[in-house]
Amino acid sequence: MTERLWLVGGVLLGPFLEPDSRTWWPALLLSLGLAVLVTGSLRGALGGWALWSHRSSVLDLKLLVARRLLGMLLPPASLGLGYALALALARGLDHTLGVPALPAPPGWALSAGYTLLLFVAWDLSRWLLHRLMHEVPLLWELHQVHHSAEVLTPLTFHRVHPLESVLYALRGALVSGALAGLVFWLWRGQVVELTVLGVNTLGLLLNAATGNLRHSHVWLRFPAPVERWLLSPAQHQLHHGLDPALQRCNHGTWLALWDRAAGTLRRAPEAPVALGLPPSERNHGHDLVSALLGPLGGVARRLGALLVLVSPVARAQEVSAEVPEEDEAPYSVTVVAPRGVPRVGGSAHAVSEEELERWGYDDIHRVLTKVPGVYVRGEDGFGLRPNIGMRGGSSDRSAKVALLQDGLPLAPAPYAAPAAYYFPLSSRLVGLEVFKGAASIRYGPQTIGGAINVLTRPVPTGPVASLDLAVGMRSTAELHGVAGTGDERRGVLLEAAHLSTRGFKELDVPAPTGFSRQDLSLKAAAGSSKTGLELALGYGRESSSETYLGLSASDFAQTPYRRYAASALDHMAWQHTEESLTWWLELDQGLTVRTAAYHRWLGRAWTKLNRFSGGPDLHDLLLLGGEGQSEVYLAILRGEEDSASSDQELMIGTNDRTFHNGGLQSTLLWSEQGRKLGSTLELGVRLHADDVVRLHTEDPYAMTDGALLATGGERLVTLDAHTRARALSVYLAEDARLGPLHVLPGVRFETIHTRLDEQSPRVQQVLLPGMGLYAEILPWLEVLTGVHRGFSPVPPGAPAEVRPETAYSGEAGLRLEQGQSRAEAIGFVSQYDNLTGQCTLSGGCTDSQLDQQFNGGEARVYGLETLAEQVWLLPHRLAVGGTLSWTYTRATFETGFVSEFPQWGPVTAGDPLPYLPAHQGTATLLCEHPRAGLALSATGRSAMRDSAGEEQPSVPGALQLDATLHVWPTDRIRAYASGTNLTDAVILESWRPFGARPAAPLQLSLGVEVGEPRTPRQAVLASRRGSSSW
Amino acid sequence: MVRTAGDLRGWLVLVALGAAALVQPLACNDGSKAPPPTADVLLELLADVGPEVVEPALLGASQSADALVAACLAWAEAESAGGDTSSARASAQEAWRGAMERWQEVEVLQIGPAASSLTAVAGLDLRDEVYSWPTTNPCRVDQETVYGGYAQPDFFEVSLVNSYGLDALETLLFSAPAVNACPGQVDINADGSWDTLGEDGVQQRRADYAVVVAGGVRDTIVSLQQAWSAQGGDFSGKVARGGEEGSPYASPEQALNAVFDALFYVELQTKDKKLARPLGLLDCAGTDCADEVETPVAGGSQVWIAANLRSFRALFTGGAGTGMDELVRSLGEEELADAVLSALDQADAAAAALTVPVDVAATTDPAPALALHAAIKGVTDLLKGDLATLLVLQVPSEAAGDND
Repeated sequence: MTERLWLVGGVLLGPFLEPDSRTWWPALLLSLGLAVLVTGSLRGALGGWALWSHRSSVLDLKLLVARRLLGMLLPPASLGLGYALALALARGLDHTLGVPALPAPPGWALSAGYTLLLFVAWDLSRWLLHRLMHEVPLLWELHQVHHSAEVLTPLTFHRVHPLESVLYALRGALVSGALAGLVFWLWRGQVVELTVLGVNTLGLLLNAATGNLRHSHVWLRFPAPVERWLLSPAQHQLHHGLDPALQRCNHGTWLALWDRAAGTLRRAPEAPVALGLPPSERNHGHDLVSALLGPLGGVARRLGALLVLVSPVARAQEVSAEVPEEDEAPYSVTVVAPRGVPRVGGSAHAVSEEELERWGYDDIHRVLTKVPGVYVRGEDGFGLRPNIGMRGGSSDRSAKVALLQDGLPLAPAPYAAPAAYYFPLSSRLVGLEVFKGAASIRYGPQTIGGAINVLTRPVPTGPVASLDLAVGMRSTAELHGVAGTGDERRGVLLEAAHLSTRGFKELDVPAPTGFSRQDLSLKAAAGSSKTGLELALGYGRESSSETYLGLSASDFAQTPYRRYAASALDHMAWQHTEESLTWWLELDQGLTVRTAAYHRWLGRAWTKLNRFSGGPDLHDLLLLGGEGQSEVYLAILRGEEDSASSDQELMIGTNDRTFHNGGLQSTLLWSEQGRKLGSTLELGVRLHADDVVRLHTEDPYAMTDGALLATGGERLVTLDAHTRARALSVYLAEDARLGPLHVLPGVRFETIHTRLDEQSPRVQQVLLPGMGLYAEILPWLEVLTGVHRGFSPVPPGAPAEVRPETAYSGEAGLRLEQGQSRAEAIGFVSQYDNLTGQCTLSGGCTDSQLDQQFNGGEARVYGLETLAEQVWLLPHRLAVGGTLSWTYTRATFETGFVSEFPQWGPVTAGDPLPYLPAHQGTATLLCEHPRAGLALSATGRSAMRDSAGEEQPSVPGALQLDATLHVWPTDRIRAYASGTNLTDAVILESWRPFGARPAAPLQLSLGVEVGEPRTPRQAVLASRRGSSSW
Repeated sequence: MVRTAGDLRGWLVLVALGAAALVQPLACNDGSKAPPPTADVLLELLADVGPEVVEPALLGASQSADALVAACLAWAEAESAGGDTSSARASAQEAWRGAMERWQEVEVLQIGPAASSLTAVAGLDLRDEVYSWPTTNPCRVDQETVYGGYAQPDFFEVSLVNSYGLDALETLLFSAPAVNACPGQVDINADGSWDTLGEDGVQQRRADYAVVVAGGVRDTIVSLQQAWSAQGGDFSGKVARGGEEGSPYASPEQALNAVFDALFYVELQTKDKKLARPLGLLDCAGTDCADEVETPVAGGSQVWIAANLRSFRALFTGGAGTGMDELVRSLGEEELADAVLSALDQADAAAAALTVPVDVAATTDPAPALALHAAIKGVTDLLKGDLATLLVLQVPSEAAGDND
């Protein structure tokens, strides 16, 4: 019995304990607080004993208790109705119309839309039923119970005849069920209502805010413009007025729209009105039994009247005649101003030729890791397949970074295949420019993280010749030769570079590893600084025995540089050509025009292990290991076990692709500089087209006695597609100088047409504003700030629901420079409206997912980039310097979802973005003399996640030490020794594409360069410029 | 408080209603209650998965594994004694068939420790330790027969799952005495070591090997029993308490997903790999499809399918306890629950009508096998369609508004 007493007690207290009830105790407390504010005192807010002991209030309470007890005795009228309706609707639509393939907006948008839709539909349905309760005489008999209240307290909310409650419950079930079924059918359960404590967020908020004051003695009006949209408590109290005309207005619960549309909206007057029903019009007395039975009698009478075909009074006609005109309260229409003024600006970072030469890196990843705000994900240990990201943008195949070479698009097809990669040999580079934040909107199409512009050797104005030869461990050989001549009117430059190594991985079976690369370029220029032409031609090739296949965790722990037998046939070959013709013209009025036509071609074929014919996913297998069958599949990869069934056959695919890109780009620069004021206006226009033809095939192989043997099975064509893109880009940037202040507004416009095979083209147009401010506050102190809208387009072939990646990004920082010291700190933040994941095979996607873009919804990236440099000039022409840089990044998803994108998986809000270290930094120590130089560096990063939704396993933190020693026996000869990963640390760089990938182990090289005379003194000074920002 | 006669009547009504509410729970126990709330049914279902479905199936598998061990021992002893060993071998074969049939009922129940560690919550790959099909390698078993690795104490630690388990036992018990499954270039044939053993030597070793493997099968099944039992790892309790501390499942719904995922064995393995592939309906272009059949040497593939269906039914109905059918009914979907059970009846009938192994049917009279495939598809279509919709769809909750 005690248990039942508790049960009954719980039911009776339910209206105060359940969050979906309006009289939930926290909502009552909030209402009380609001009432205190309105009435000015707690006593006034509570209303006094007379209010609560009023016969009307007592009947409120009794009706509440009676309804709750009846609810225990009778099954809920709407039990399962909503669910059944939803299910029937979803299935019925499935069976009749099929499963729709609608574009799926991001999860947060769907949920917000769904929540709003539900709220509006519920509100509308309540208004409709409420109005019917007044208009239909039969229903009015029931509704009188609610309107007979002579005083209002929050409990009056529960003063409802049980039959009326049934009708409202049925209404809720019908609306909820219909919408749930429809939305489920449309988006397959991707849509979740936004709830707080299991209750619709909007409903809960409004209930908590003013819901309990609707039935109260507290007269709370909203300003007139608000009451046209949201009903105030006073407007509902007016609806409870004694005057029947008042009862026919303000039927709504929250939104005033419905009453406005029906002409029944009334503003609340200044003072309360008398409440209740005239005794002659009520069908019940003041006691519980009468309130329960009286309406039933009224209903019976009405029904009886109907039976004898006596029509009741047509109340509806009266209503339309009697409802007074709504007060036309004055209100203003506000047009929301555009978000700020278009601006541009932002920070940038340069790596000089001296800096590149000092470290002599062959791996572009190593160069970029030293730049604050740039992250890389190693894969093969040489940077052959660059994965570069900036300020939170995904590093996967550098698809989210704008890559340029001498200001022209470097990627093979930046619009049609953003993840396609090509990078010139590092030895050919004489500088790098890294544009971050708002500075990146000059470039494109990727404008969120930033842009990287690699600079190649310019045409000389005098004779030049140099030869650089280096040899190193593991048969590494590097050769770089430059020859050229020129004067002020013309010049020519020929450059050749070679890099080869047998690599650091040991294959299980005899087969080649490593790679060989060659670059050849020719540049010729004629003209003057005023006008001229430059022609650049380039050819490159690579033959590399590289693979997607890494190692399992246990094998990595034992033999990190092993390569499985299953990768023995893997081989990449590509050839690349580039041509550009640039014309420049400088007019006397500070006007310069630079126009370039460019073309780039890349043909490549990568043959590599893709998957087991029917076994587990290679990434999962190597990441998670597993036992049982997994061990058999691992043994097959190692060549220790033969393929014994069709499931165990190894599918080795050749991804054959040909890329073209070409276009015309023109930049106009107009500069007017005064003593205190100045202006530099830059206008850029680019007409660009690119395409990629892909033919991907797979052949089955069987592992037999450690060797891969073709089974002779059918060749599968996994992808045969042609994707094309055309784009027109225009940007306008201004640098307005007002004394020490630079105001840097800018805007970029892009219109992009993309097409996959014969599918309908997709057209994307975007306007990207940006704004920067930069001021020299003191001779040694500069401050900068910038904000811009970033964009990453949708690649061709993506489903219609995929949206471009967009973000608002901002940065602010300061720089200090005095004497030989320099320091800077720049904070950055990017608020992604929709973070996207670009599917690449290297990222773990399948052919069918290739280039597809996945919506990740809202994400936020913020962090801090810091850099400090110090140089000490010592006696004996010695210079000692050092740099410290550290980047902190916090990048998290703001919504939860489950994604097919392999690097995300099941994401919950707050999960960090994968392959993005929270901490990354470099410390360097430089010691230079006119005849020698020594450089040491330590580069480290913290741990990273492999998949956003999975905490483990992760990619652990790492620290690498590098050093170089340079000696100039003569001004024309430089001998050098370099070492990377000096401690021979075993570093796990990535779990992708398949399994653990090591960074390169200790590598020592010796080299000699014979070339142009050099003033060693410059080297010291250059050390400070080597890593500069502006 | 009581000021009028009306007030008095009102209080009396309230007291009467309160009294009725107090006795109402008693009235509910007579079976006239409304359908119970779904959450309760879900918890009952999860509580019953272990004790009513998985543990009984493991018990049956364990008992038949004991019989298998005994029969293999008897065969090994008969081989040692010399003379006619055909009877002992036949008994071992029969015990294997019994053990396989029982195990095929456990096959569908890949929840938790039996399931793959790559794809399932709390998966430990123990299923593969008992039976790793389709990852089998008869040649590897024949090589082990010659090398004698099975006699080493660390055999199970150093060997792959295709060297032991019920699939390896098929090779050991049913292969023709003089024949091995390896191509000519494989060492045991190339170096003549297989031939050196001779027919008797091979059979002796196979019998000894079978004793070791049968013991391993039994031990793993016992491990699984312990993992599920309340006295051991209490995985039954962990499923029942999904969402609570100590359970690997983050919520009861995730535990239900594990049960639901297990049902898909019949779609992915039974329908597609055991039937569609050998029948040439799926992924079999250009090769001899019938070779892809389960247990090609011993036969019985049709029996294993029937056992899979029995196990599917047990998991769907919860055995003697609460099952997914009740969950479906509690959601007002009587017809769907009936439709699944009816489709299962048809699949069972079609399985009974297939009296020869699937590969034999494929090459002689494929009609019964195709009918069975269609019947199972009838079950799995409901599984993937209406049932999945039912379990995923949610109706939103509304904040109370006026008059609700």
